[in-house]
Amino acid sequence: MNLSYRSIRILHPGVTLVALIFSAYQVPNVASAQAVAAQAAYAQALDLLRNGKNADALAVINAAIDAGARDPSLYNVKGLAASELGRDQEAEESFRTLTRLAPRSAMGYNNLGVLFSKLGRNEEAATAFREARVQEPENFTALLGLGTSLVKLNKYVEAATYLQRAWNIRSGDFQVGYEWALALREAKQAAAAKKVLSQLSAPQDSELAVKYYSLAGVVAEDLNDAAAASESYRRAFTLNPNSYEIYLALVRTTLSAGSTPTQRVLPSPPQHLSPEQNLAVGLLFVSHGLYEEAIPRFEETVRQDPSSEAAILNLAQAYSNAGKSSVAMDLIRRSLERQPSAELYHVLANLDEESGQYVEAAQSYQHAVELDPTNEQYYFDLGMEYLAHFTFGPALEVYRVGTQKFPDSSRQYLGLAYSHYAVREYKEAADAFTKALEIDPGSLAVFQAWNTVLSFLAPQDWEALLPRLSRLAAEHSQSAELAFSYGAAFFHSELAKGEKAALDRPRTFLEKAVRLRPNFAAAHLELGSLYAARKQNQKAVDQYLQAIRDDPKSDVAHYRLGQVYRQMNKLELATQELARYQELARLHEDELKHSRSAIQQFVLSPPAKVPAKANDEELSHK
Amino acid sequence: MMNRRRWLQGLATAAAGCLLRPFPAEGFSSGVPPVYFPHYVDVAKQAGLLAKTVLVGHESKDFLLSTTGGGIALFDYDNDGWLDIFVVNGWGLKEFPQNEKPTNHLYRNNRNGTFTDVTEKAGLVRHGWGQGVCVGDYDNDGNLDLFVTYYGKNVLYHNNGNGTFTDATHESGLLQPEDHWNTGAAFVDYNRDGHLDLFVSNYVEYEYGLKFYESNPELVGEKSPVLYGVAGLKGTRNFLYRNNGDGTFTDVSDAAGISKAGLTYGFSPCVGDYDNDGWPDIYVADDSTPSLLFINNRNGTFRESGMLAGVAFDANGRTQGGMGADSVDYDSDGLLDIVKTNFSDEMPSLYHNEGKGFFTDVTVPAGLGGETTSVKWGTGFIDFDDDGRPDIMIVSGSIYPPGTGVHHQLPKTDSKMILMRNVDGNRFANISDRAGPAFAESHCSRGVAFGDIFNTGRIGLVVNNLNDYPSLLRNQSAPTNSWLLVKLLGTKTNRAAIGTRVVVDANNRRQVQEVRSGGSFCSQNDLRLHFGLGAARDARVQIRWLGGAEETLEHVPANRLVMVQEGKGIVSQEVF
Repeated sequence: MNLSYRSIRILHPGVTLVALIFSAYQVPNVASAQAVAAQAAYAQALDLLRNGKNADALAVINAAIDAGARDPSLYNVKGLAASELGRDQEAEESFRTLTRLAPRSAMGYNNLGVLFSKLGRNEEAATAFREARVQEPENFTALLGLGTSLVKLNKYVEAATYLQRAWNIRSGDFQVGYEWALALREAKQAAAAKKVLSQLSAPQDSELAVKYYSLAGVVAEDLNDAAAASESYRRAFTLNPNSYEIYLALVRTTLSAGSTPTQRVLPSPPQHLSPEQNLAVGLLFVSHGLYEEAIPRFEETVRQDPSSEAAILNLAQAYSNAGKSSVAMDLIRRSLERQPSAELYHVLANLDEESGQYVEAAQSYQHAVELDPTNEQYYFDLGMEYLAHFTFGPALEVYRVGTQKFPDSSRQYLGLAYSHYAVREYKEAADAFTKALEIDPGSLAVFQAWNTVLSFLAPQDWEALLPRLSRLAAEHSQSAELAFSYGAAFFHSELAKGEKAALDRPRTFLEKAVRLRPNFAAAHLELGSLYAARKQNQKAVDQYLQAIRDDPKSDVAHYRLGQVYRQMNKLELATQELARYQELARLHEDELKHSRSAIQQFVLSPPAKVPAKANDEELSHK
Repeated sequence: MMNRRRWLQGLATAAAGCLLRPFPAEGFSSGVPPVYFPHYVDVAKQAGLLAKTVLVGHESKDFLLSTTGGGIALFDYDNDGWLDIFVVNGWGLKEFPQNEKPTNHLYRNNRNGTFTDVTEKAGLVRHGWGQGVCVGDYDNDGNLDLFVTYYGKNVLYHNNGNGTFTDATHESGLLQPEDHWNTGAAFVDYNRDGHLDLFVSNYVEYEYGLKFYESNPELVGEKSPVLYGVAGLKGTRNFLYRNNGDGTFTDVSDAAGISKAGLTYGFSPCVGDYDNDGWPDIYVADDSTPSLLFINNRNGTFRESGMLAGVAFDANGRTQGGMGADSVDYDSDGLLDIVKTNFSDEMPSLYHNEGKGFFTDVTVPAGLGGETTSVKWGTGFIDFDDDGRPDIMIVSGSIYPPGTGVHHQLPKTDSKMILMRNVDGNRFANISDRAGPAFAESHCSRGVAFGDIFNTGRIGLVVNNLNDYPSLLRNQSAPTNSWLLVKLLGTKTNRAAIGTRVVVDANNRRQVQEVRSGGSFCSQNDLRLHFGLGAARDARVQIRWLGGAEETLEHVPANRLVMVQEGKGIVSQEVF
């Protein structure tokens, strides 16, 4: 999300109006009494207007007009005064009268355009400025007004052409340059915008300077120059230290530009940020991994709005990531005492688990599920927590319910499958794995999970799965994975029939799988085994070699290849392959040992006073 | 505790089974020979096997040691021609009253279908975490000695020949200086010097046996260190002790290359000449680690080649929870094949010997792919129908014995025996539900030993059930085929003829078996070899003594026990 873009857009609405509104039509020098009176009224009203006495100015003009004066200048001043007083309808009528009385003058159209701009009637403003240009094509005010109006109408490319012409008339004019640069930036011409801005200098007026630096920052960001952007925003923020938008942009670009802490030095945030703003700043720090910097913002958010669940969640996560897990958990527990929340329990469970308090984690996941039984994620996580800690019965129950509540969730079925697997209910596991595949047949992850059934399902249990796998393979005829699933299952089922095994059909599907996905290691492996079962040893070797090329870490492939080589009496090759198999298997064993050592830390106590030496005891008695 | 009601129910079940069992319809309607089904009945209580195997656990904690043990042996300790039973017992996490301390048990066969507990008389009372057992005549005195493995230190019992045993562990040099988690064992004359050496498997590093884990996988609300198997724990190496020929042994594990193999979780050694070179090799079923095959280099050393041989893993190169093993030639190609039991939801492994000591995993195509229930432990190739095609029997048991924890039962606790009929020499079919009432019962079984327990020509079996009484299965279905029981006496070869190969040709089939110490799951089968002969009236018997001599006996009549002495041929026969 580009927060700075939004903030900069807020900075510059109506930037041109003030400059235009004082463009005034000069009263013609007419030597009549009425004209003299009108001129006097005009001069008096203009003076009042300049002194901010708009109502008095309007009264003077109205008196003159009531006295019969019809001078266009009076209507111009009347429009200005009425506009200042917020009597926009009266102002519009005055400027329209002006255009009727002086139709060939651009001024009336320009001021009408300015009024429309002020009122947000940008289409009408553009029309008015275009009319002004009809009368005076190179009228600076008309060009600027038209360009500015078109910017507001998101017609940036057209706007840029008029603003460029205005720039040609008054090169160096800040307002023109700013609007032109803005139009170019919005027209995705950031480099051109940067060039325009480089021809400007920041005005003395701090408000305008803030706009200048802000736009420079945005353009630099567009050009992926975070350092330059950061510098511009820093200047803008120095001039306007209460701007949340500028601070946010400054933080973002500074964090992007600086890779060291010293490069990341930031000023204090604006005072009186809202809870939402504090949260946003905190999230920005978090997005750069600066949890310590984020914590004060989140803490402030929580202080301002103790009921903000988002703030509590983010603060807790920041504490945790900053190595303050216990503080995080305390925070959430305090919050939960006030107001139970499924999401808070879920986060607390994650923190419990990360800190090794897995019993508490399971309880927290359970609370999350109870508070929001419609959340599929909570069910999944609760089940996984049980599975991860060998608590298989509850895991099975969670996923049994999970699959009923979320029948379209393939991962609930995967959880169920792994739970069955853990308690050695392989037939049931295979059924659940296959159900997951039926729900999400295109998912590689689900297929890979399903593929584990190949290594444990007894041959007779394939029978029930074959029709389902056949249907899947038919419905997704271009899926290499589903062709493999059916072919491999069929092969395993047939293999159990011994010499009566019919291997042609499974071969067809396995060959299709490798045709659809030539680097499909598992399919090459199964195909190799199918050929080996048929005593087609050389074909088996070819497939195993391909499986190894596709998956060099496949210990199974090396083992089977070694066995086939041995059957071919190529003992040297067999020995090589089996040695490689051993290397890979040893890696697996090391992983197991590591896993085991992690479990061992939970051994509660050593055996106490065990009469294990009875054998020796008896010996000594003899 | 087994109560009277349950005992009566057992009897009732057995009786009903006998009365109601239908004639096989196939025999009368189709004109083809009737299909034989055994009728195994558990007669342990009636037979007097009345001592429970004990494993007392923690009320809420699990520990690995509560899952192992349970070896059992069938051997003729008193040389009366009848198989006796030795049951390895366990121990527990409590102080037992003096008169209730669990001990191993020796049951003498009364030759009338019953047994007498002679443990005390035989000098075999011993307490501790017993694991496995094997039998062999290590001093060639004609009396079978006993070796019992322990979580702690192993024990060698010398058979005094008078019905008693003497603990010879220390004198023989087999007393282990440190505690170990010893499991299966086997006597093997690896250097063919006529003196039985000893191989001992080890499981996990000793310290892990009694480490506690939370037993309740359903726990929510407190931290639960749930035991999830041995993976990741430190494994162990196996031991090989060379018999010095003077009643003592020397640890040659390093010198013989046994220690070179990687650390494993070893359970059951199964000795056999797998590469057909006349020298015994050693296969070890390992839990969650590669099973090992030590090929005999014929020079006093071994090389481990399980992976290249294709018997270390399953067909995918995955380690399995290997428990027990046995080997015969199930497909009549003259080569010893291997069956290995594995953990629950793993298939058992059937490795077909392709020659040169190389095997192919044929579990799935042979029809064993569906046997994934419960944890499978003891096993054996037995030809229950005597058709000349060795069948496979497997006993199973949940990982945690009943009574060792209240929360640890996983959904699959159905622990029944499995009988796979060898259909055609290549395929096996599960006929457990037609094998008699004993196959409908569920026990937490570990070791099983096979043999002609009642000298009837039919294979029976004894099973060690944890926290339960042993099972004694008798096949009450009348045989329809011929059989031959061969007992060997070595002279140059070790006296028990362990390692000697017998090839029987009959009924156009060839069978190969070897006399084996150890095997199954930490157990000991009948050292006599039982061959089914089908419809044949006699058989050609070739003997390749481990000492090197070969003998061929033509037209050996069926349906009898023949005793063959090395160099002398058949020295006695007994018709049952």
